[in-house]
Amino acid sequence: MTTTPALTAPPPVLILQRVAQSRGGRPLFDGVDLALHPGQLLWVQGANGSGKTSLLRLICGLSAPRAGRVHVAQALLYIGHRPGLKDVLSVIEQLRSSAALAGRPCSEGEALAALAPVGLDEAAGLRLAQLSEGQRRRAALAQLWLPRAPRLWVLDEPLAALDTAMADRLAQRLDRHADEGGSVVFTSHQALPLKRPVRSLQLGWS
Amino acid sequence: MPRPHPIWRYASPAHFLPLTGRLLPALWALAALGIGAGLALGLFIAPSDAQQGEAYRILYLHVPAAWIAMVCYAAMAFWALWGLAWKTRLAFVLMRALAPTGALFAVLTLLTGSLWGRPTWGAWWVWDARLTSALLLALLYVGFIALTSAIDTPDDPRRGDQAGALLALVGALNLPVLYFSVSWWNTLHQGASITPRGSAIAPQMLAGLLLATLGFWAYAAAAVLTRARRLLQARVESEARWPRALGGLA
Amino acid sequence: MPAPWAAAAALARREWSNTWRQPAEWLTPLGFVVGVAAMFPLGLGPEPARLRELAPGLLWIAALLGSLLSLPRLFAPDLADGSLEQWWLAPLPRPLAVALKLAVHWALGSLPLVLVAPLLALAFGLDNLTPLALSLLLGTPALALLGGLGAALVLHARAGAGLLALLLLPLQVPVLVFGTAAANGGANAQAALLLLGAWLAVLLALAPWATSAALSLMLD
Repeated sequence: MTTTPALTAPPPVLILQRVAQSRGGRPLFDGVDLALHPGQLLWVQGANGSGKTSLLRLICGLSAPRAGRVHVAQALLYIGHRPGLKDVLSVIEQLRSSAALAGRPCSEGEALAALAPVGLDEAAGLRLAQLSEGQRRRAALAQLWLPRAPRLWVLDEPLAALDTAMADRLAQRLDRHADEGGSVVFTSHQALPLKRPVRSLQLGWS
Repeated sequence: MPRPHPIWRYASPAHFLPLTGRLLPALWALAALGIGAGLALGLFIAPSDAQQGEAYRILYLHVPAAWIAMVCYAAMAFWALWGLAWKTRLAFVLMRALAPTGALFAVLTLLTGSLWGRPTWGAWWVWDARLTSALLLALLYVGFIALTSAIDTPDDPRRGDQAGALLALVGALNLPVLYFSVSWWNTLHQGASITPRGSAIAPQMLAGLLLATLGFWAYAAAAVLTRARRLLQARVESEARWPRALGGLA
Repeated sequence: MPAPWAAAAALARREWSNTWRQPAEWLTPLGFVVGVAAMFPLGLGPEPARLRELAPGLLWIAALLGSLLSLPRLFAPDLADGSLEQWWLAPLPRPLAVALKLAVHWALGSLPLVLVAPLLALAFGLDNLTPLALSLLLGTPALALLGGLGAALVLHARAGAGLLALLLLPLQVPVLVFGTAAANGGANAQAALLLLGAWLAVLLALAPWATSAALSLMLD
């Protein structure tokens, strides 16, 4: 259910109609209705195991819902809980590979420019195996600073392993994305220091 | 909205269980009669074969067993396809129920083939096209059972169903090529061959073979349906254990 | 560069780098085949005539077993670290993505075999190496295509290479039969090679599609 009234005029980028999902035979959630419009930020909350990641995977098209329909207006950018990092690749190789794999190849200059806000431009040539967990998470998030990013972002636990300064920079980036008309769906156990209003979706048993 | 065909109601446990409950006693009776009469005719009454003496009698077991092993696999593949296409629980349950019976008859085919080969060819096994194919069919069954049991978790049969169904389908599609390649291999190396010779069959032999075949078929059907009932009941109970998601939204 | 081509190139490059930079991944099958090939004379006796007669079949079996070794790690690491989901979401037809992945896997894992097996055959006293090399050239891709399907099916299974071998052996028998007949040379070799080639063509068309269907179900 929404906590703010739906915006008029721009068509929604994401619609969920009476979506239900189960995992391992166990029902997770039922009857989820949602319309996400450009410029909106959606925070999916719930206890561990309540199906937050499953909902995000539904939105991306990685799983099919047990009931209901999911409509996504256009391409999206997905950074999951396990973001596909290969240890043997260097930071910049990983970034350019992920971008190209998503159909948005970037030049070396653009990649280095995206690594600067996450503080990894000096470490661009290091292999991912040599980085700490926090640095690896930041390497995964660097995609958000690449040009030509799609309008809808789906982020699973983006704050994991980030320090406060990086969390602030991430929140600024998400705010700027929403200002420019993009939308974000994210899960998180902690609140993000966002300036724009955030819609909330709570999953779990009543 | 058009009404679905009435036969679909048997996909639900509420109809499947009573129907099979009524069928089963008849099937078991038919099995006992068929096997009893068929084997009595075949083992005691039918005359000995002109060329093979008493040893041929094992064919009363070998021929039905081979047929059942093959048809069970075809049925498994059929229900696998049905389950993947229409996602009904019963289709996957039937697919799983067929596997152990099919495996049993595949092994029986191998054992009886070996028992027949020993007095006839002097060897416990020959690598001819049919026996080798039977061995590979037995391996296909074992692979299916191994895969599904390695994937299954106590409450979620879904992944096991899907992987097993794909495996059964792929195996079934591969079977013609497999049989062709094994036959071709056999002709390359001029191996020995076990084929029942085509000379005249005495009426008692034919009657015995038909009765035994009918009896074994009834047994196989009864065994599969009994197992299917048990599996279906287990799934229904396991689903009932989870609380239904209540709305799910705050 | 249009999106699908960029994605395809990125997938191929990533697979190549990932495999090439972990030498154990592609050296192990090679080492295994050489090791197994050494076991045969030790087990069967070094009599040259018998070894020469058996060599094509033995080397083929060694190659088949070697191809099974790297399969458990074909998709499982990608599933674990989320890469599978990344290339699942790529603007690339999924059967093509699977085919690319298998192609790189074959190029690094099996192509060296195709080059080394004839050398081993020399050690077994074989003179005419072409039939063996050709049969392996057509046969190892077929084994890889079937192997990919097997690897996808066991993604959620609590089992190792043994289960994979059990599942794949009946499926790989046609490849083995045609391959060894082609490798043995002689009258039937040409027919066998044609059959092998035809079967490879069928597998090329069907296996990536079946494997991506399997991966869809496993990702769900």
